[in-house]
Amino acid sequence: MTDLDTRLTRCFAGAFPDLRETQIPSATVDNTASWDSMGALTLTALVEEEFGVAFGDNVIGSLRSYPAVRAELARSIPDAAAPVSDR
Amino acid sequence: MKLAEALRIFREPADDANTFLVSLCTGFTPLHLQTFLGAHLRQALRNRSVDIGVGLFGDLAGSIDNAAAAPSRHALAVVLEWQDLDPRLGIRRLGGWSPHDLPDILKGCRKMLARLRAGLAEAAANKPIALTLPTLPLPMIGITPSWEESQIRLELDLLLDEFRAQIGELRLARLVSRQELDLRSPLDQRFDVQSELNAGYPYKNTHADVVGELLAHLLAPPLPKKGLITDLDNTLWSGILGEDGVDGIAWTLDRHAQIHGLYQQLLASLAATGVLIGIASKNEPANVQLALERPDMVLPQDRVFPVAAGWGAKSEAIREILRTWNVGPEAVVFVDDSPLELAEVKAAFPEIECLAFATASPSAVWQLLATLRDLFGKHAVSAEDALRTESLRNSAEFALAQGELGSPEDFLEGIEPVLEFSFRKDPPDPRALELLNKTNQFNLNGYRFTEADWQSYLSSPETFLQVISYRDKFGPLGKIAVATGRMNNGSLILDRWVMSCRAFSRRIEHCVLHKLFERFEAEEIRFDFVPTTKNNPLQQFLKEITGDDPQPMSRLTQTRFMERCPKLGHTFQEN
Repeated sequence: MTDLDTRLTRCFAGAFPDLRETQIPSATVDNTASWDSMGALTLTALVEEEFGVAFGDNVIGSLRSYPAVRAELARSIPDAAAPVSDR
Repeated sequence: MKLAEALRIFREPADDANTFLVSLCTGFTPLHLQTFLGAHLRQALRNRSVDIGVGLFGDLAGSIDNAAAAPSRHALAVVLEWQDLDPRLGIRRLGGWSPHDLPDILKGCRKMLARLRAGLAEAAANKPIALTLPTLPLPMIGITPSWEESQIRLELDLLLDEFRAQIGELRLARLVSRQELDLRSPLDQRFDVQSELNAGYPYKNTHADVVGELLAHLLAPPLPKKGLITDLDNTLWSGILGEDGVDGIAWTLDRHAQIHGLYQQLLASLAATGVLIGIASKNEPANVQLALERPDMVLPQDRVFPVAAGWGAKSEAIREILRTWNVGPEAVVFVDDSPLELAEVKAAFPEIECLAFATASPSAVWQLLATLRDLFGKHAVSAEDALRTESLRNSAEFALAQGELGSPEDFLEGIEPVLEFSFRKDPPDPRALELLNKTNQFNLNGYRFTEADWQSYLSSPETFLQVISYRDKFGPLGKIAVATGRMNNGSLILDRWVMSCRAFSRRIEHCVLHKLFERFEAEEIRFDFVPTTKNNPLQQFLKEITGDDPQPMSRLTQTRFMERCPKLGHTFQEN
């Protein structure tokens, strides 16, 4: 697991406390009951706070799954996506 | 506090089933503000569970009305923003910002403020309210550039000032300090335009954190400290008394020592609000006496008691002062310019808050004054606050006289004690809540009330409130004891009972029970007793009067009380 995954998992656990840690990597809007509009806002705020990024309106709408959020972060801050041992 | 931390704190399981129920009234989606408020309340209430209900989007006045009418809710946190006064003052509606719209906007604001005031007045009749007035920047509705104040802004400020003054008069309403908000949350870092447009939530997280914390402070305020012990040389004044002499020490602008004068001025103000001020100084006692008698001292000599001057360790002087005051170290602040002295005292009394007086840095002293104001701040000053230092001096005389006047009965008769009982609970005496929350030693169970809990408890028709005042020939002690409880099938259940340590050794505790038996014609009193680390004096008394080790719901029959109660020569009055 990369540093990005560890931190992102923490954000998901904060936004969706009903998810087990093993469910988080495959979490999507459709399979997570608490991922409603309020949950999405909380997740966005936690990710922005954790990674020091600010998502634009055009991006927020596309953040509908763990892989999607991870991909956006990897694009915004490539260094965070590298395994810890590579850095 | 970060949002992730706030979420964790707010969601942590609580030990207490007695949930604190708050209505958060906003015109916007409260989202993370709700989380921050909940987390700060959880911290302030030491892990008691907190439930925060929210109102309808875009209807602040309706939310306040609903919260006022909800009997189960303990308190209201109200957050007013510009768009709640008129939607055109927000950015989610396009009603017009033209100059010709402005008179109508002002008219709408005036009407809405009147409605909000009525709703808040109704709510504040029996529920505590914490309130912020607009915290966000006003949109660009004026015609002036940013550096020139606009007429509409001036008129809005006038309306808000009037509203602020009206709210300030409501007994249970508290306003968040604008100055503190401005210091903690800069204006340009409050408004999240994107979030407001997308989600109807206008706050950046840093701002929501500060607003939540300040609201929580108002609904669950920290207990103020009781006493301040100060050093003298290069602290209360500039200079070394032993070297510079009585005339060589200074605290004024012309002697480049104004910061010490300001410190004295704050101490005088604290003393006037009932804070105990003592002195611990390494100096010749006679010199200290002469210095304190200087007529230009800003801190009057009669506001200071006791003065512990000598050459022993500071911690020993402080031990003597604590004994005289009869307060615990956790309720005391010590101020000294010497890091060594501060460390020595801290090692002896880890619970004492030790603060440095940085003589060489006026800015640091300025910050110290602000810290002291926060540690000792209170909403209002009671008559007892003005009496406190004087009654401590009288207690010293009282202790001397006690040794001179023979038997306890002779002594009590000689001092002509008078007890005044009040059973009024609407409106409740604010001194009663203060005593319940600050008394440790003679305290039946150590339970504390928030203002909201207190209002809720008293609103029950079964409960009674007994407030006891005392005076004797040494002077008045003011309101020094409180008992609350209810009757249940001939038994009087005593829920809370506290007495100030200043009132010990006068058999007031016996008088309180005597009066309760008499007034309620109770067959027995049952005590909701819980041992604490500090309530040994109460435990001793219960053991003496009941004849048994105190237990939860210990019992005392009227017959047993009359057998064991010593002679009481007090005069009883009731108002």
